[in-house]
Amino acid sequence: MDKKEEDSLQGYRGEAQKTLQKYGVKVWSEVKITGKKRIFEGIVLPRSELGDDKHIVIKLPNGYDIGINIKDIETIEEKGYEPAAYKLPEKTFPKDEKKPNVTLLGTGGTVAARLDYRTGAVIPAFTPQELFTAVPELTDICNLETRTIYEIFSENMKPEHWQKIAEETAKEINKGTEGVIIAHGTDTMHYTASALTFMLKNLPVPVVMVGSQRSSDRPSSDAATNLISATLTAAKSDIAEVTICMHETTNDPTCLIHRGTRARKMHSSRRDTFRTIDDTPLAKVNPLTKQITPLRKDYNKRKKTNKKKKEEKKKEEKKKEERGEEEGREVIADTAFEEKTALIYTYPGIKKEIIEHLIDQNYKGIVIAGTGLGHTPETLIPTLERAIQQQNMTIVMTTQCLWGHIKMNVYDTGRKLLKIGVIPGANMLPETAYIKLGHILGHTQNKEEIKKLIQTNIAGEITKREKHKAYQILQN
Amino acid sequence: MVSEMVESDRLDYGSVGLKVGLEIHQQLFTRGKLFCRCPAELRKEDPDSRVVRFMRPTLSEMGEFDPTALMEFKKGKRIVYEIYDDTTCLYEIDEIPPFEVDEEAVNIVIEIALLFNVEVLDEWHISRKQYLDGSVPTGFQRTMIVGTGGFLPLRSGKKIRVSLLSLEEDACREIDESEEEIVWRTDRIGIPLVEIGTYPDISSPEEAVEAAHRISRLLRATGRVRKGLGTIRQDINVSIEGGRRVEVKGVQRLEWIAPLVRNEVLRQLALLEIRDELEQRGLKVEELTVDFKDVTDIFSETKAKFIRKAVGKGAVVLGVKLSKFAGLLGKEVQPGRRFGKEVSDRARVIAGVGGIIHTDELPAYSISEDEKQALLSVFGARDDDCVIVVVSELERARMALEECIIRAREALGGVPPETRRALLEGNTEFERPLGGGARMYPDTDTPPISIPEELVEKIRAELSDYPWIREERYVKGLKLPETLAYELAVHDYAILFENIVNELGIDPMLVATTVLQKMKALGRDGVPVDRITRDHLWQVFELLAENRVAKEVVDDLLTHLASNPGDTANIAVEKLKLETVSVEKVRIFIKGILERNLNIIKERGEKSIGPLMGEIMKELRGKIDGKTVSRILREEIKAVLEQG
Repeated sequence: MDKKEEDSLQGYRGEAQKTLQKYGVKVWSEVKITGKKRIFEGIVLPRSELGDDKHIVIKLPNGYDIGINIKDIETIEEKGYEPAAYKLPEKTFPKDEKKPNVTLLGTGGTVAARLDYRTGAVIPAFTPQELFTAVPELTDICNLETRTIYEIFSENMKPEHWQKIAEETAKEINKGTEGVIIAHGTDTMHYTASALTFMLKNLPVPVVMVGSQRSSDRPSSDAATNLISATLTAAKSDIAEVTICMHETTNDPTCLIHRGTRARKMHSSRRDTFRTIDDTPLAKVNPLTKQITPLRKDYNKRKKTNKKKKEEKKKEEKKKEERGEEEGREVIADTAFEEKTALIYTYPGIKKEIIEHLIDQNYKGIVIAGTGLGHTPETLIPTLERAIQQQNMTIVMTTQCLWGHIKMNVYDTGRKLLKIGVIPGANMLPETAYIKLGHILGHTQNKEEIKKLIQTNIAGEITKREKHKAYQILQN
Repeated sequence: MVSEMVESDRLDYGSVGLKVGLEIHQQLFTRGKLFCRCPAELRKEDPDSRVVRFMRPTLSEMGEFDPTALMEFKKGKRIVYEIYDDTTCLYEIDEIPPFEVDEEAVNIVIEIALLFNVEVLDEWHISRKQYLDGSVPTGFQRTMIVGTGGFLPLRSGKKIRVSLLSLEEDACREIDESEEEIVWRTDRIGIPLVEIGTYPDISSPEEAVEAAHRISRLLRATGRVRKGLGTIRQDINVSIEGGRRVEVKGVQRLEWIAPLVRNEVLRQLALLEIRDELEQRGLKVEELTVDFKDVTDIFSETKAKFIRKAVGKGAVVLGVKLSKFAGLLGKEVQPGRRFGKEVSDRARVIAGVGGIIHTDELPAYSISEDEKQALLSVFGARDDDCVIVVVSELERARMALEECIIRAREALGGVPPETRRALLEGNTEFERPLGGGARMYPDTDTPPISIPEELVEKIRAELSDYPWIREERYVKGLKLPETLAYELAVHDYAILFENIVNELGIDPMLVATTVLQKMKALGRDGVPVDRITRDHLWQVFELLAENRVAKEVVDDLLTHLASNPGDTANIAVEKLKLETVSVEKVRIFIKGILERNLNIIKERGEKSIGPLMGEIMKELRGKIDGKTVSRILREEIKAVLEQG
């Protein structure tokens, strides 16, 4: 079966597939199925990958879907064929000079969707027209440009994807956009946020990552609230950092802006899944009042390209250029990343073979999500020692407690790990430490430099002081 | 005219082409909810927390929104969900995908499907049915078709075909609504519901009542549906020849059905008359324009306080001409409800503006004849025109009049397809336009559910009769009084009753009065009868069948079992020393007593029965009935006396 035919029989296999082929019908065909006991009319729907090969699914005229067992089918007659309809809204949205220009980069997932009620199909909506129609509030905030970079599930992201997203983001910013929104699946959003934070040097404007925990085809979706809040943040806030914008609580009205290096997905399904760990979020956004309320002051501020002074600035830049000075607003995508970096979660009874395998595979660095203050079972120590001293690997210790600092001097095991050269990773989140280590190893092999960089706060990934309030899951 | 027809009751439903279909929603009696493991129980206390959400209409494939949904959204009304730590989980507030479907609910709905002669499908697909009022926190109700085909027989033998039988989750309960927010309680959402829809095969109010009655009896008879207010909800679809399908929602009592159907027929007839009249007057749709005029000035000196007060607060008086509508707004369409009310209902429900005033009813409400004339002249109204005005804040007034124009235009088509809310006296009011097809799409969170044939066949094998057949059998075969038979036929203990009667051979009347009346009476006396199990009842009647206890002790046994539900009836008999003794044993026992009391017998002859009876019954009470004892005693005394 060729690809085209496979697509036209989406999900059907075995006997069910043969039955459809026999009567020359495909997915979205309007059919009349004559059964042994009854007659059904409806539209053939795609079949779930997990379904058996004994049923054909049709959508009845009353909207319900039913599975018809092929053993009950006598004949199928195709009455028509019309794939899921897709019509672009005719509205156009002229550019408004007074509003900031914002770019939305798509990497996967759907920020907005439309429903084809005839077939029940969910169709992604992504062009500015579609987004403005689906979420009309966006038109009041900015001029929007959209571009799809990838269409992948976030669990399938790899360092190469982070690199490309960083490059594309930099390109947009250097073209003059006043904020970038990155639509991203939520599973690994915090990895990408960390990667972009380290890769985008001298970031002059907000880069806001956004996603949703309830798909955008449902009326209760969190996508629109998150998207409006993210757009407000990208267009209007002065937070020139890579951030994550998602629900503050299970309630709809407010979102939090999390620093990319301190955020983590903490719940498999809740809307407020993203939490700032061991610190406080940067700001709170209310998409209804359009208010952005900073919760702290210590973030990188936006470098303004005030439109009124645009002309002036151009002149200034020209002068600077003439003088051979670096242009102030330009962001650099410094995307080098060592792919032979691993993140290991220790547990009681962990076997040294796991580390040995990484040594054999010539890995350059490992971040360990250790227990408590930064421990592994003692049985790993000889292997780790060999990795560091003979293979020149970098081992960074973080805590699987997520909250709190690494303190390896307190207990014997910690001291032993320190002695063999494991680098304590302060209170970096394991995921952030992994990204940071890959980034550093992509740039230097110098042991001293690596150690120094790991332990230096570059982008808020290490907090010097731990605030009492930082230990809260349901923040604010 | 409408009122006259109600009085004279001269409607011929056959000739108007009445068609009625029913849609019944019944809560199933399960321990848990359909898609999560929370208990299915309603709460009275204040909630532990509240969650605030907004619903956003989803764009259709045509890049459009459903207009009413969009309007709801634009109002920006907050949706508040009340939640309880111990009986609601993340599922009820749409924070987690559904769990596996409740097995108990699946079993019950299959039983119900088979009772309605429905062919059960072997693979069920869960669909999402959109609701934007907030009643379902996901924005859609999860529902699945159980089977197709099926019918309900009426007494006459006529079959009302079943168009749909589905299993779905109930929605939240509305607790409060204000301008700013609507409050829903999450206790009810997720309780399994069966929805049974019929084709419009019903052709008179009486048939509608009978069908609804039979459906509810049939459901009750399973013993596995919930009882009480709000556990069963009926919608009625009514249309007549030339009219349109109108859905009447929220019919809570069977007694409402007949007047509702009748009044809807009258309404549709009246609306058709209005249509004919407008046609005769030559009205064209284009003549009904949204040509609104601000006529606040006309009322600058008005005596109508409500206008002065509203205008003082910034309201305007906005008006529009309804060409060729003179006299029609005053026409009665339901008993006591005029066509003008239909127009203003719509403005009230959609735009939230009450009180549309039309020139036909003026002068009234302290609005003078001069003001009326001024209104008519501002709009250049002719004799057959009428002007309507509304007093409200400008944007809202505009929205209200737009709705009035929409409704007036619809009058040219006769009956608009609508969902209407049932009112108490058999009338209805506008709720919303009837949607096209339900807005449904597949639920991507759940795999299809396989229904094994063996399960269906197992349930089919245990299926009971129709309750009305059971009832007839009780009356004709078992000679039960009709009231008892009616109650018993749908009672949870009906099957138990039949088994006891058939297998133990106990008098049906005794069993029926015990399981219905005696249990109730004991309950009233404070006995915790709900702790008496079916097994207990069976055991008690088994003891009776074996003549091991007298029927007089049934009360004592049940009372004991209610307080000691861990005991069996056998143990209860032992503990209470209630076992019957045989007539032979009694005779021997009596003989023994008499031998010891020969003096008394000789002295008092047959009259000695009095004092002896007392002494004997001290020992035998509850083990044998007094009559038997006294008969034996009499015989034995006689024997002693004859022997001399």
